[in-house]
Amino acid sequence: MAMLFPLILAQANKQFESVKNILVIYPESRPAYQSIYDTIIQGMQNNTQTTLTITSFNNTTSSSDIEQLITTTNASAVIALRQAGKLFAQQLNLDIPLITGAHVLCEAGKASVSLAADPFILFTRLKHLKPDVKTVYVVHNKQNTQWLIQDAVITANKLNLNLKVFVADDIKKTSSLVTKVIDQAQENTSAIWLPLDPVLPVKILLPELLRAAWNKNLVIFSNNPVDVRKGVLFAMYPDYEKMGTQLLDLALARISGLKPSRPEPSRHLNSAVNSRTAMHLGIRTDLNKSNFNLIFPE
Amino acid sequence: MRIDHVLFFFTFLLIPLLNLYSSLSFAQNSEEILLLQLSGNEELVSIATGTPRLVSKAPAVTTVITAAEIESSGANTFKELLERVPGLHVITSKAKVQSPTYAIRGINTSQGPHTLILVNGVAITYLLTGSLPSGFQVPLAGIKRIEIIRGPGSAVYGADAFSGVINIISKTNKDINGSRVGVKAGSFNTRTIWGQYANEYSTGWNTTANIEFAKSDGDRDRIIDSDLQTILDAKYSTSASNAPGAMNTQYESLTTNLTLSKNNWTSHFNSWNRKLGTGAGFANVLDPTGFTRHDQYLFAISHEDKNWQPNLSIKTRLSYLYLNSKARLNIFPKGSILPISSDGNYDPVAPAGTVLFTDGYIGNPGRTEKTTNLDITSIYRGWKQQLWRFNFGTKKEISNGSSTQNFGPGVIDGTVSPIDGTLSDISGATSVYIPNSNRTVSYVSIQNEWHFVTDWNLTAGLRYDDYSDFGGTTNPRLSLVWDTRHNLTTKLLYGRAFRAPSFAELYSQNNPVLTGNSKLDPETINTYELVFDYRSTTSLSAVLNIFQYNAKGIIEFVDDDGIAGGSATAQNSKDQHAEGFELALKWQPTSKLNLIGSYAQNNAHDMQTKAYVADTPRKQIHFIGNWKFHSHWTTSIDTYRVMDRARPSNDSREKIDDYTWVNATLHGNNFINEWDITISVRNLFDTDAREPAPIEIKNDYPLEGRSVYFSISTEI
Repeated sequence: MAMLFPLILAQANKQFESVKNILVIYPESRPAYQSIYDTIIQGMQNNTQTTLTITSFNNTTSSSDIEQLITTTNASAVIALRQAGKLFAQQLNLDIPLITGAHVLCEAGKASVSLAADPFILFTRLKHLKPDVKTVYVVHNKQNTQWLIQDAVITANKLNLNLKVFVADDIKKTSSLVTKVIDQAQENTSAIWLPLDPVLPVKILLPELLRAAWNKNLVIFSNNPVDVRKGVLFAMYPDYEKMGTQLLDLALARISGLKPSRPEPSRHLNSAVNSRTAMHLGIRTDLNKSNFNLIFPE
Repeated sequence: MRIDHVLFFFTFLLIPLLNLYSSLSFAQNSEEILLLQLSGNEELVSIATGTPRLVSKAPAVTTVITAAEIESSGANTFKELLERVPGLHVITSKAKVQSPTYAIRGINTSQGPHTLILVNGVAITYLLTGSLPSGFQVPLAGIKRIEIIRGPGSAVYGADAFSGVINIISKTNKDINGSRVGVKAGSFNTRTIWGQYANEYSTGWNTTANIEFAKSDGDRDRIIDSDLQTILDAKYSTSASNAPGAMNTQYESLTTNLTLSKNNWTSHFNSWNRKLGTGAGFANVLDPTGFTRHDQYLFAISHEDKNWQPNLSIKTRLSYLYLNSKARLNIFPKGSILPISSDGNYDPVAPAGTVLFTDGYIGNPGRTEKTTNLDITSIYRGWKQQLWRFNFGTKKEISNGSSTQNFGPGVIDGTVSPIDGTLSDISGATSVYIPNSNRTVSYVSIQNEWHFVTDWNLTAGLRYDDYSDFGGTTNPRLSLVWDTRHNLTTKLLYGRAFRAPSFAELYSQNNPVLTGNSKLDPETINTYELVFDYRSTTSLSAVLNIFQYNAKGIIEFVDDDGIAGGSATAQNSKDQHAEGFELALKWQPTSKLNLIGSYAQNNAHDMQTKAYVADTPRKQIHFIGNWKFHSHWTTSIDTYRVMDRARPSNDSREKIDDYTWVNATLHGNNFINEWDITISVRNLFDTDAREPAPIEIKNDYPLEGRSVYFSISTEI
């Protein structure tokens, strides 16, 4: 029998019928990671019109444990965090909406909030930093990020950017496609987007990409502040507390049928910039802590 | 095809491995790491990448020791951590009751005033010596990071930033999650208990508090075979010396810090209360029962408005440092017969007579010091590609001495023997060991950072200090930084620094060891550095720093008449020149393994005599390996070798032996819920390591033998 530690946190006033009970599940982790769940859940708790039941699971937790909890708490939706939470929740026999979040891989038709940054916010920041960028190159895998790239194509059109998409069926093709991107990219007017897609082994690609970007004055931007530390111009990454709010809003919208079941990118983002790279690219924008959460090199 | 192209494609030939990488890359473990990386939290990012933060505080050569490195090091004291800085060696002072001095690139004198120590940006200089009070310690659990800048920093930090700057930055509530307590116990009856607390109140106040109590008997096996009293015993047929005997290295220390902040206001309060043994004795005569006690308090309050005016920020800081010290020194032991001059002081050169001190030659010096500093810094960003930094302020330093003793002018005159332990209070008298002294320093500096063309930055700074007792001094610095490639930065640095003599160097009198010299000139140094800073985008970084400096008028206490154990008078003893380099490497071959290595070499020598500078190593090599062999457990080896330390020119002893020091640590992080555990062994192989002592201590100062410590901490 699994050990469950349900905790009723928000004592919403149950006399209102609009109050919804929501079950939040996440995999047991070490304290460092626990603080991230806590932050996401804090964002959910900002909505006082819901009662959250929060529980972690481990490999001794059974589906029936969680299903029983759903019944006893009269939950109207389940929010599952991380890939492991998503996989666990998909095994449940659910007749209520399932919303997943804080993971990379999203599936079309499934309600989720991805770790991937909203392309509109990304491209807007790109235009602000480097207005002369006309073309953005991206390599991705359809199975992994098709839902995101579809959004990005529409967004790019709106912002007068030409998004050139290269599809890597598997990681073996990534190398040649990235080389092609580097060759095609035009000095000063091209940018390369590194989305969160497992087909892109960023750690391996980055040395060559950064060398080429430095020599050709290309912008590289990503979803991960660690890439910025290494020399990528800027990154936008989720504000975890606000991701919690976005997850809860999506859950409530799904309960009331106001939103279709589909993935969403993270819309509340933090940002990091590399001032050394910015200087090299001739970026004149004032780079300070009021514009960016992290500035590298420190 | 370029080599990096080849490597790039070669990497992609490893398809099976890459497929494995791909399939695993977003598996549970990698997703956890990604989550941490995306948190943007610097500490969490550090956990995730396993690499310490790389701070490039241009224009300077900077080393950073992070909280995570401190935690995994198993170090007991602040000084143990500094040995890992390339080109820095912690030396046992010959004068300051064997307290540590921090020698950078071969610049070191017996009182070690050349390295400026800051706590949260505020200097905590002991006005008497210009360095730190003996036994300085900070609670290691409360340190966020230590930044060490090698090379002169006078243009920004003012005088005393002569050979380097060490800035200890405290954790704030952003760095501490809730409350934590810990205990440590180990060899030499060492006991430490500490606690920390942080909170963010709904009223907008943030608070952080640290407290640590530490106590140790010290290593009683640090045996001094013979001391100055041994020589005197032979001459006067006495047997007063405590040698052979153990160095008196016991200590007891209570340290606190409290940080309060709200909106633009931040205040820091620090206290250091400690009592410690006299090492090998104040006059290098073993003193098993003597002690010094220092009670030091620092209060600093600052207000920072980053948007004071368009493009203009301003930070104002007021700080007050207070120190009260007392000592009980048996300068010579009971039953000693000493040559005493007509002014009542020990004088082996021209004594008026010999005196038997039945209860010992006793001095109980006391000291009160007050330093008040108002500092205003403003940064202007209104001109494109330029950043202007303006700084001005004033500092008032007051240092008053007191003493009770059974020797000195007006107490004895060398004609009466024996003398017992009856003490005379000479506080306030002109004959006290240092007259009351004060100094006012006013300063103004301006610095411009100019990104004058793509990839090139020029920083030019100028600082003017006005000393009430030395007049004005102007110190420039220049740096040219070239972003050579995406992974290579080249820096050319120039800096000039200035150091006014300390009060001890100027005014010491009526003690058997040190005599001041009011005619001293300030020291100056001109340093040139060429730096290549390579940071690969994968896991390797390398910094090569080549330097040269010319230092004029280095102040040292020089033996009067060349008699060992006699008084020494402060003199502008030498001009010093050095060339050298430091190479620092960091490599993370896997996510679980971190390797850090450094090699430093200098040829610091007296420009007139060409003799190498005594006591400081000309070569050092250091290696640290951290292996995270389990998700909760890390083991580390920290080893360094100290090489090529010359003797002073008037010391005919053989060159002191090189030594290799090895520490080993096992650290469990959250090994059970919120519990951390550390087991560390210092001097793992029980090496007989020695630091140079004056000639009267023939076998030099032995360092601690092997010791073992166990510590445990938890959140509460």
